[in-house]
Amino acid sequence: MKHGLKSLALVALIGSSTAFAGGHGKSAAALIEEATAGYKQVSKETTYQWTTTVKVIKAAQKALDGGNEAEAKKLAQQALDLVEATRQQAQVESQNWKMRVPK
Amino acid sequence: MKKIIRNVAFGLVGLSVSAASVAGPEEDRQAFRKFYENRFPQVQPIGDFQNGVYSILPAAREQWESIEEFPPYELAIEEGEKIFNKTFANGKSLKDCFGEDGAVREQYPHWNKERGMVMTMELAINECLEANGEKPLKYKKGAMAAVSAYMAYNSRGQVINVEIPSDDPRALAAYEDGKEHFYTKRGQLNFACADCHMHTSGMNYRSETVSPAFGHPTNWPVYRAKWQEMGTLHRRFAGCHDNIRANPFKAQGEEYRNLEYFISYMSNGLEFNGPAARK
Amino acid sequence: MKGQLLTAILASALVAPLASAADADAIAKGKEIAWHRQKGNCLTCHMVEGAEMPGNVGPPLVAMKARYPNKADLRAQIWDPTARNPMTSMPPFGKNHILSEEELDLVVEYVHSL
Repeated sequence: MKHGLKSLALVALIGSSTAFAGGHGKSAAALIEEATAGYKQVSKETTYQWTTTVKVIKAAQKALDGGNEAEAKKLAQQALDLVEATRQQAQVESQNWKMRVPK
Repeated sequence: MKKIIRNVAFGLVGLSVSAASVAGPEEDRQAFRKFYENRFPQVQPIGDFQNGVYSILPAAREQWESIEEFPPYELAIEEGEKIFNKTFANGKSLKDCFGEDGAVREQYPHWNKERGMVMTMELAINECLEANGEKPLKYKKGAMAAVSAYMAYNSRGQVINVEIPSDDPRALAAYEDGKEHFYTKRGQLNFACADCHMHTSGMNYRSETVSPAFGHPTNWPVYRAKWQEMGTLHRRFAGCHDNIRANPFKAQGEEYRNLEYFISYMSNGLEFNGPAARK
Repeated sequence: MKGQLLTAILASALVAPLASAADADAIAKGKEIAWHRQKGNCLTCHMVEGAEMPGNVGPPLVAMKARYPNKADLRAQIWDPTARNPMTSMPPFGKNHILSEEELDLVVEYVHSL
């Protein structure tokens, strides 16, 4: 938690974009924050949560803590993709479940 | 569309029930049961669905029946009996809540109108303990599974008869919630309960034949060889969710209680025959 | 349709012996992913030649070149089978990121070779 706050503060200080991340725009820390927030939001709004997402976010944080910014970024981006896929699943299934009900 | 309007009109005129009765729980239940009757015509009589996957697997049934002769859940029943009869610090016991032998399985799950929620037997056990100043039990295994096993054992032969009272729309909402859960794909692997236990029931995932959902709630708690111990229905729910890479919900939380309400209603008419042994 | 199938089978028969070492490598890697329980885990539902106790939820993976003359169609099916059939119990391996795009390519090479 402390670490998260520190990263947040850092991000806020430096501003959003290319500061330490280079080409891709956001830093690993910012991407991890984003993925965590997205995960929480989707699970709150839809009750859809994937265990995989939690694991990948944890792995990203671990990579970041280990000083591997590139790996952390890659994993955080993966987590964001998973969050988005979860959101889509919830959206599609809010209608599609009805097809499976026997008539 | 026309037909729907006609049905609604009929519902309004002919019956004093709301339009929901057009495709209400009872119609759902009949269609659900019909689905399994058509899929597994060899299961005779229909009550045999209470034996889960063994109702459709004659080859595995023999071995299972020999296991049931010296059941691995016997110790749990004995342990449960002790807990059930144990005197609380205040001099009372679980008997004060559930009668001399705790044979109340058929009363659960049920809709509690005062509290606006589905009550399950495990939840009631803990509420009884807490009301008497005792510590609640963990919901998935151990002592809770043991007490539940003892009470289920003394209730064998009782018939599932879940009601969805029409005078409380929240009961129907809880049922609908459980129903949606059952048919909704979840988790990274994108499975609905219905994908495995309805639309591919009887088929093999590797060497495992997947059981029909009709009859699922009859036999809990279960001694599962994979666990090497007892577990409750909500433990199994959580295990399934974990398998499909969906975050499990809390045992005895609203999601799982509503799911239990739905699947139990679908199995109305079958007998409670828990506890049981499963792979 | 028949003609198309025949052409596909003929074409694959002609091409197969010429498959390069790179193709064989991709197929071998794809097989590893396809058989891995945490990855493709195909055998849970599909019979594949050489598999012990495969499942039978999905169709056997045989004659894939005949069933999918166009490799891209096979890829699309594995990427998201629910697009064609929302009732299917087959996971959307690409859409839900169960496999990465690179892993998916390799699995397609392998499955198409069956």
